[in-house]
Amino acid sequence: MNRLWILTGHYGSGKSEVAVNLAIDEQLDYLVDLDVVNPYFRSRSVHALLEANGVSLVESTIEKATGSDLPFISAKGSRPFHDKASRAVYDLAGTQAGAKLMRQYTDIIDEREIEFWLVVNIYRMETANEAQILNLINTLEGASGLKVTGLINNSNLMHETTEEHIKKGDTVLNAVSKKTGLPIVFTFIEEEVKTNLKFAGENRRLIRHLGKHWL
Amino acid sequence: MGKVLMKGNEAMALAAIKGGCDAFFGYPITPQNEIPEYLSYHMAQHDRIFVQAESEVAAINMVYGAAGSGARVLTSSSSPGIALKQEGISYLAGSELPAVIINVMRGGPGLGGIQPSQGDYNQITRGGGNGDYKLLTFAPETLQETVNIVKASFSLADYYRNPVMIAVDGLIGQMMEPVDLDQKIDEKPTKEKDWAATGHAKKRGHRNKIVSLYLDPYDLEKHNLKLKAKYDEMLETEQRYEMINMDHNPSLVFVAYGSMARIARSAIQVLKDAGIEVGMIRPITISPFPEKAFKHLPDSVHTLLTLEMSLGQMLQDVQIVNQGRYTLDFYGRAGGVVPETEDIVEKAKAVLKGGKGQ
Amino acid sequence: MKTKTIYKPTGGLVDRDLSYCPGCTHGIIHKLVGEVLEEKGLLDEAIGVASVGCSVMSYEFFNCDMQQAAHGRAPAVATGIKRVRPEHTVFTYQGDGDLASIGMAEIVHAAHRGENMTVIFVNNAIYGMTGGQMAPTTLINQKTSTSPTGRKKEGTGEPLRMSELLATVPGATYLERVSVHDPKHIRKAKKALEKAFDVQTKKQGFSMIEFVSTCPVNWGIQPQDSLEWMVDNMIPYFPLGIYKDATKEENNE
Repeated sequence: MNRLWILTGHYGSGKSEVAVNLAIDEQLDYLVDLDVVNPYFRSRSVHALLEANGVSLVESTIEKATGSDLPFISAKGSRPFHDKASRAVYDLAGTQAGAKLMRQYTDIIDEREIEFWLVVNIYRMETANEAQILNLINTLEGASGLKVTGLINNSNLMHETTEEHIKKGDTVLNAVSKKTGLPIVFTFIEEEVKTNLKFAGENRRLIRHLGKHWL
Repeated sequence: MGKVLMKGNEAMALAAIKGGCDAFFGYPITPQNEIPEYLSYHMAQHDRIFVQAESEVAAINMVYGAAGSGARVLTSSSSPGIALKQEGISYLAGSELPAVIINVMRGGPGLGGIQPSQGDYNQITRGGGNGDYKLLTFAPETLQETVNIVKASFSLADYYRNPVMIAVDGLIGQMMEPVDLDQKIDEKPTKEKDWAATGHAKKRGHRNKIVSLYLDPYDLEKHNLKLKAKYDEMLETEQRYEMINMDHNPSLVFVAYGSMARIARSAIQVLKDAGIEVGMIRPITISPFPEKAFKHLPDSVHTLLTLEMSLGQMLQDVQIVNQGRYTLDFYGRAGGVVPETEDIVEKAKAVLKGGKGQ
Repeated sequence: MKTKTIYKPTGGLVDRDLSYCPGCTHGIIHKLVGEVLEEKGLLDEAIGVASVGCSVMSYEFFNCDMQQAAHGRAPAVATGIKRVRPEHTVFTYQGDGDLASIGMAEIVHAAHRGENMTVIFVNNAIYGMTGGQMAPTTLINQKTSTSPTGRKKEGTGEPLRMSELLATVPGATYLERVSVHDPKHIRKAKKALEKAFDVQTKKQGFSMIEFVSTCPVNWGIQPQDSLEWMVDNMIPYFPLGIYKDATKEENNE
């Protein structure tokens, strides 16, 4: 696995929750929040949690301003590319609008250093089946100039998620994997779901850090 | 289609398409941008109209034109943008035109902030624009409820020939939740829009005029009284609310809507686990205000605690309907600050102890 | 004895007295619009938008479906109507306070989007309805109730020329300024209106006909002198003519 993990996907696929979980579980050095689209529920909103876990948060130039929708990107976003010993996760906003931000790093990206992972929740209407996901891969590769290197199954209906939902996501993503040769790197399993099944890739519990429990 | 996971704003946009929306006119503002973004693509897919207007003022006047010619029309915005739309909303009400307006509320006054708020309550329920008029306004709590209301809102607007507002705070616009977009909903019977200026004067045999100007004050008063009768009908038949945990003889009852009701709901559970029963009146319509809910409270009730993400706006309606029967208390946060469940729990405990709490 | 009809009132207007003052040209302009709508067979499908100003009541006069708009918003209202009913003829009827002041954004953006509609713009260099206040089009040194010593360039600017301004907007298709102060010019104005409605029928986009007009009441002169004052003072500043004709460009292509 290369040292820089860039998360892409349809918006609402759960990239930010996955990014925060990965950053904490894997004790990454940086979480780079490049979400210029969403005003709420961004990974930067848990800056204290990340800090407490030793993860450096790179976000807007206006730091810790949850009330800002100014899409300023910090120049610090390129630091992990230069800091060759570091490991980082990049959290992009959804779809092309988010993926195109990677274009600014064209000169410094070394493809041997990065993973470009597609986070998929098949309960999002736009990524419900194989054809739609293949289409999205195309779109995102076009927008970012990067090649997708792996898939993350994050299929869920939040608190209504059951084992069956994850299994269905597993089936759809396995079909995509077969067609594209892309590995399924992780499957995220909603915290409260009871299951003994083993899904494709590394299986991880998803702890919801961004959403409040009453949401 | 089974349940899907959707963001509030896109769920409302899709629900509008399913509710028969013919045309959308809007202008960008956070935190509602996913609505126009979603519709800019999907309205065309459904052979319907999408226009990004030059301003909120222009957008609502486009709504007025499209509604006047008989279409089912939607606009959406957030608090400062809704303030700009008041001119057109007053014209819609005055000319008796149906339209649906989604308000994804953020903090104010002025440019305020982009975080969630319920600070437009007075603007919504006390008119907002000029003149004697009212909006039929829903303030849903979950995405499922929101979707069902958006779908039904077009038929309600048509039925009353009056603008209908869906007022949610930014959280409901931005949060994700599983929804079923095809749940069956109650709709008002459809009536032919024989009043619309459709450009068929000859076929119809007479001209239709969409007007809110009355040169004779007695004529205008007659028109005002006609509108009033309509608002009275809404007051009688459209009050919607939910009563929560009332069969456990609570002495304290929350009054909360939208996201605040979600937090209050979780506080009720925490209190229940601690052996304290608290009830809740959850207004689903805030205009008309569900006064009926306050008439049949259990005898155990002593105090009503109004909870808002604003500083005592709905409280005034609670005071009006309460007429001194119960002790009133209030907890509100503003500026986009969303309280935690524990804040509500603590306040409830303090009220029950007889203190004021914070 | 055989009778021959040489003139009859247009069916484009409702059979009732117009409310306008002696010497005001709204009446002639209404008649021309009515005639063109009738002669082109558009009356039974047209939807007009009345604005705020002296012509606020035009919904009572044009013999077709009408909607009355908020001050300045007629082009936005017409946009809503036209998008929903693209096969119908849609026009607005606006004055200079309405179009050039409060409705500047709406007129520019309707032209900018190339809305397929026709705007009838009546410019008499003053607010008539509200009592003769200064308009963006008021001439330098012209006295009004809010420029009692005459309009000065300093602080209130120089009169806006809307046809010229809109000619710089890429989306506009046909713009012409006309006058109705004598039969020759009335005939020319009617031709301009015919052209504007043809542009719309052919789905060629946004058209506006600006009428240089009068206001004897608020100008404080006799009706019979007002046309002369308009010819002497307004037309030199607001020259008549075609300011944009993109249909020609299209024809050449």
